[in-house]
Amino acid sequence: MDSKNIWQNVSGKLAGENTKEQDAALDEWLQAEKTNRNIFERLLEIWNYNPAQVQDTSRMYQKFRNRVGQFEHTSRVHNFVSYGLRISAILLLLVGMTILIQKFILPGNETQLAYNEIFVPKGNRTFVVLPDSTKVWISNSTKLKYPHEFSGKTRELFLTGEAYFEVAHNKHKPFIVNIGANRIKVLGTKFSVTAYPEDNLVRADLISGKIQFDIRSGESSKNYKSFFVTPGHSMEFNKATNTITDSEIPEGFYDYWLHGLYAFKNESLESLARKVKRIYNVEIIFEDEYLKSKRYNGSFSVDDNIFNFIEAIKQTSVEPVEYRLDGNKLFINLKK
Amino acid sequence: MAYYIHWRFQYFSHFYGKIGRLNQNRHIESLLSKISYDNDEKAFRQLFDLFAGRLFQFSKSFLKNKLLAEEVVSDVFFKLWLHRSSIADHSNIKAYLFKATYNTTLNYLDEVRRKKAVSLDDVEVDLGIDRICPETDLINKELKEIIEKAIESLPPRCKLIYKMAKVEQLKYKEIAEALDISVKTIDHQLTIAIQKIGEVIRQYLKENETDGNHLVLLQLFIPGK
Repeated sequence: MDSKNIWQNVSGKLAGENTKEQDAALDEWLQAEKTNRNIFERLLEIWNYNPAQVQDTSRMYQKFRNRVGQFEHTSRVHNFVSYGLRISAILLLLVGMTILIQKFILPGNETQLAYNEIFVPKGNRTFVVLPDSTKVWISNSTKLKYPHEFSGKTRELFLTGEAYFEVAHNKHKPFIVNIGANRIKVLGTKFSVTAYPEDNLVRADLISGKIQFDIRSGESSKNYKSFFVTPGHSMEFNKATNTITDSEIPEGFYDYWLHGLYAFKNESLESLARKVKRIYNVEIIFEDEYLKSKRYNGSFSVDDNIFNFIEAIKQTSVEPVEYRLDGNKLFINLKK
Repeated sequence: MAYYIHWRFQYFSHFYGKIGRLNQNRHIESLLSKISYDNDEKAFRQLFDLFAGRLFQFSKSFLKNKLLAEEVVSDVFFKLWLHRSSIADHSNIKAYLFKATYNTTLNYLDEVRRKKAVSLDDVEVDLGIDRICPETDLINKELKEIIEKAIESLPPRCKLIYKMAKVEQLKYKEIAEALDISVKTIDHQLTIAIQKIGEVIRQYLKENETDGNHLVLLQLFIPGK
């Protein structure tokens, strides 16, 4: 028997796929030489070694539940929406007539897009569905401006702050998020944008699909440098140093958007303070500059309060720390 | 001959493990009918727990990203839940789940890597090093390392098929369906893997047999003095 065949019989035996003839041939080979048996014994040992996988599936199950929840929610509101659609069809007709009148009867009068503006104050979160059925989760102290309808060649909106988008697919109308001088261009995908004017970092995290991160180069509003973000990655643009960094999406991403849980790793207290200000609407004042550079790992919930946060900082701090709250200001200092 | 019969019994006895597999199949069947006819969420959770971890590992071996692999798995089960009324029609839920996971995983890969993955010749497969080979009476530390190295050096497609057959205990037909390739290819690739491992074991035994003979010779000489 040639060696190719014998190994086929051996692997077939292990996988439980052998015919009777193959089994018989294998037996013959095993009886022929002790070495053959020795090899087979060991192969069998390896094949049967299959330690149970310890895998916590509860997080994945939660994700699955969220998805089911979202789906059932959207199908429930569907009836309501279709009723709304009939009304908006009538309204649209009226609007259409107005536009016609403006365009042809009153020429020279440029049509202006009417905008909705949502402002989410500090310490809050909200969720909206845009006219093209794109879903947006808006974070605290964030402003989102979008037109009543996406009538042009693009779907364009303006964001300062932080939001997570699930963009409805429409390849004929690119979806553009303007963030200050820069912008993000997409077709249909799930991603988040973080662009607070007071922060130097502008950030995009892409879950799936494709997005184009356009960084303004030069003063002209038409010159952009374009970067593509790959799924599962985050791209960060530093306005101060003019540099771009690409990294994997942090693990707590979903926890943050869906459960309001913010996880951080090796983050300075100064940077945490900026987030705390937006999330709990409390400004942290450092009475000792040294404290700003202290770094922490951990997580906190958006729905929690400032005391739990500062107490955790206090308890984990190596040097004793003290704090006092005065209105919306929280003063922290090293204990003297 | 008695020794040989004993040997055969001992080393072939693992195939009686098939009985356990039959029981599990019956368990899964009953879960499926509960989900399908009674909308039983608890049964669905049980089904989820049976497969989610393995599907996650499987998906992660392509995506190299925990978060995305979790997305894939929850996606697969979400679709399964939507079609739960026809879930009992699946003759082989395990093969279906692996196939669905594979297809969804490809969707999550970017274009460049997707092309590679479809050809299956260029996928980086992560077997999880601690699960490749045991250290036992028969396999000492040195041999274990040699075997692990041999498995790690298998071509990607070969490694993936080896993993699916061994770790996931999928039949040739199931793997063929999941990866959309022929049963013959599966047979061929698994043969390559087993041959490679078998040959390094043979080589190792050969080298160490001579050492063993030296020892025997020494022992013969000492009492003769």
